[in-house]
This record gives sequence, structure tokens and C-alpha cells, in this order.
Amino acid sequence: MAPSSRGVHAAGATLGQEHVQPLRKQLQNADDDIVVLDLSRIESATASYLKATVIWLIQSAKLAAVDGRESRAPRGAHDPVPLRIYPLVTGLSADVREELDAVLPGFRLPCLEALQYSKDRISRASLHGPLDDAGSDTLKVLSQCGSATAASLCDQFADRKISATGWNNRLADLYALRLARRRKEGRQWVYELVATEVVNG
Amino acid sequence: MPSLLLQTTDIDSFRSRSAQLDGVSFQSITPSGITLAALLELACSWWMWTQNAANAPSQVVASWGMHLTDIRHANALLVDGAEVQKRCAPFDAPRKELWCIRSRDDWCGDPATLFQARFRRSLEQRGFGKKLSIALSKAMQEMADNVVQHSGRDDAHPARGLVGYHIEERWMTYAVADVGRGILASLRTNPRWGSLLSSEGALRASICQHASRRIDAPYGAGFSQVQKSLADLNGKLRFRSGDACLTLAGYRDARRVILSSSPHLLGFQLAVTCSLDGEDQPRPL
Repeated sequence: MAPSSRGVHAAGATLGQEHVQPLRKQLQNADDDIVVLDLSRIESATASYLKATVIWLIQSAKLAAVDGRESRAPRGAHDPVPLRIYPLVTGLSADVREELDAVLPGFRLPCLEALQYSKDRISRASLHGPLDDAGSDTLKVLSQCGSATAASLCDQFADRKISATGWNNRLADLYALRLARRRKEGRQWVYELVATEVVNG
Repeated sequence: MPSLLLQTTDIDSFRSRSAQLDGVSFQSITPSGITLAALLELACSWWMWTQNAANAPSQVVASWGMHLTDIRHANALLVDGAEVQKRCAPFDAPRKELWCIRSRDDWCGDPATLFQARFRRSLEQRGFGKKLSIALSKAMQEMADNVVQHSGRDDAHPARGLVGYHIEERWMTYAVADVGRGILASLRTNPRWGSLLSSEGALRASICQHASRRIDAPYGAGFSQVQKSLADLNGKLRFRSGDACLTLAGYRDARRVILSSSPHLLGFQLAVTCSLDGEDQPRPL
């Protein structure tokens, strides 16, 4: 639930680490859950605070997506840990949004801001941070289709001359960035975006 | 007896000659005042001398403390965590205040949040405006947070540190000082900066190139926050660690970088001073 007024000027990694500590415990047994981090009480934030909260959450989610292939033991107590979640943020003030937009490129991470959501789904989100051309294109395509497999996209967009493997890699990249979810149907992965509609932030 | 306003250059000079105090006239000085930056560097020096059982300089500082309660207060706060002066009420807007960091909780608990809010309130009440007050207080918070994050072997074991501010009408300074491992040792824990050999190089890397000790972070954000907070104001920033000092002075794009040596002192000390009227005279607490 979003509190009614802002007022916190959040600065420093230590404060951020303290704020995510309870979340970390709460999420360690998550099972591909969508998590919306509500920052509506934060009036302004520094890059260090956002690195310790939003970036930490996205990096933790990303770690879980690599299926242990690239995962390594955390070096420090506040390093990212694998969390099976799809993180979004919401309630951003103009100041926080501006700072987040400045921080994300350094980490080459995109981040979704939930604009309209209910308990069950994210109906509209805006995308912040960098996403390469292939990623943006796939995001658009997946947004049009609702859900898709690599094979179905290969058939549906045959004029693009992208192989099924090519589509598979693109979809897997969106999954790794936690912008798309996937489920297994038979031998294929079926992908769908975390939000029904994604606009540029 | 000579009387003077103690500034960081005096503390440097005192530290450089502290080993041969017999031939030096520091004992005869009666300080008329001390700047915030000098106060914190003196407290760190005092802490170092007490650790090394260096009695002669400690006695001089103790005698200065007889004249200036701020010196007694800062030393007691850093060494013992003792509050010599009356603590401010939660919603005050004092002209000056010191804060001690000895653990993570000391900087992210409610009392620290109130201290940070008092700094912001004091700025606003002395002509800095809401936006600038927020920017300056966030920068100060970042700098103090570095004590927790970087001064000790890990962030659960920070070194002792002090944070202080001194605000007059349209003029302010804040300072942060710790007696930890210093910027060179901290940065060298990141292999990317492992080849750094001097505190001077480490200061330059941190402040001018935004180097970070965090392996996964592309850059450190704290010092940029400080520079950003000063915007177009005439500011003076002093950073010292180990045996080096880096000063930035002037206006944003034309801020001059001056590197100099500074007699050895543990940890990392910094001070940021700015005036809305462009004046840059040091002021006693």
C-alpha cells in the first residue's frame, strides 16, 4: 500500500541495505513472483541508495535467471543473491526517476516501472534504462503477441529472416533481464512480458 | 602568547612537527578559534597520538582544549563516543553540531536521521533554500555513509568517524573524518585499482575518476553527488588521506584541482565549504 505522503531523502548505501534487508528475507523462497518495490515515500534518492536497493534487486533477480551457470557465491554480505522474482518499481518521484535513469546505464540494466497494476497483474509499465535494438524490437513483438515461442515468432515474422535460434536467444535475453516470464509447454518455452503493455520511460 | 584561528594548514604543520615538539612553539599558542575541518583533523590526529602513546602532542591538544570547548568535545566524541555538549532536540536547527559514527546503526538509525534533518533545516533557515538544502544534505549523508561503507575491513566494522556541520547566514561547511584504513587501502581491495601506489593517486582516482572499491560497480557515485550538490556555487572541497591532500576550489566547470602532500594521518578526512555570496574566508566555529 502506498503511503500518502513523501518526505524521505534517501542517501547512502547503508540506508539502502537496511531497507532491502527485510525484503531479502521475505523473497528468498519466492517462486517466480512479480515484486513491485514501492518507492512512493521517497522524495529524493542518491545513486548509492538506488544501487543498494533497486539495482541490487534487479541483479539478484538476474542471478536467478542464469540457472546457476554463471552464479557465484556472494563476496560480501550485501552482494546480490539469486532471487526468483521479476522486480518492478513504482511510486517514483520526478527526482528519483531522474536519478534512476542516470544510474541504470552504468550497470547496463533496464528496469520496469509499474504504472497500472493490481494484485494479479501489471497492466501497464514504462521501461527505464538501456535495452539494445534487438531487445527493444523483441519487447515490441512480444507486446503485440501477448505470449509466444521462438518457433511461433519465426513463423509469424518470417519476413525478418531471424532464425528460431535467433528468436530463442532474443527471448532468453529478455527473460534474463527479467522483462519477460516463461513457462515450459512440451519441449518449448512460452514467453510473455511481465507487463501487458510496456511504454518507454 | 600568540593567538590564532586554527585551520587545516596549522594542523598539518602541527602534525609534521609533533615528533620534535620540544623545539616548537605550539605549546605557547592560545587558539582563538578553530575551523570545523581543522577540528575534525585535529581530533583524528589526537586519536592517532593517543593510540601511539605520543604524550607531547596530546598534551598540547589538551591545553588547547582548555581554551576551546569544541576541541574537548570533538576529541571526547571520537575517542570515547562521549557527549560533552548538550544534545540537540529533534527539531532544532542549530548553527553547528557534531555526530559520531562507530557502527552502522550510528548512521542509519532514527537519531542519525534527525541529525541529517537538522542539518537540512539549518541550511534552509540560513538562506540556502529548500532545493539546495536537500542537495547539500544528501551529499553530506553520502560522505558520512562512506565511513560506514569503506573505512573498516567491511561495512559491519567501520572505523570511528565524526561528522559535523557549521552554518552561518548564507555560508556553510560540513566535514567528515574517520581514522580507518584510508582511501588507498580501500581502493586497492578492488583489483582494478590494485596497482595504485600512493594516497595521492588514490585521491585523484576517487575524486576525479570516480573510482570505487566495489568490484561490481562501474563507478563510485558519492563524490559526484558532492560536486553536483554545489552546482554553480563557489565552493571549496578538501579531501585528505594518508599523506596526501586534494583540494578543489572555484566554480563548477572551472574548479581547480590542487594536489599536495599532508603529514601522515590515518583514515580519510574531507570538508566542503560554500558561500552563497562567493566569499571564501575561513570561519571559526
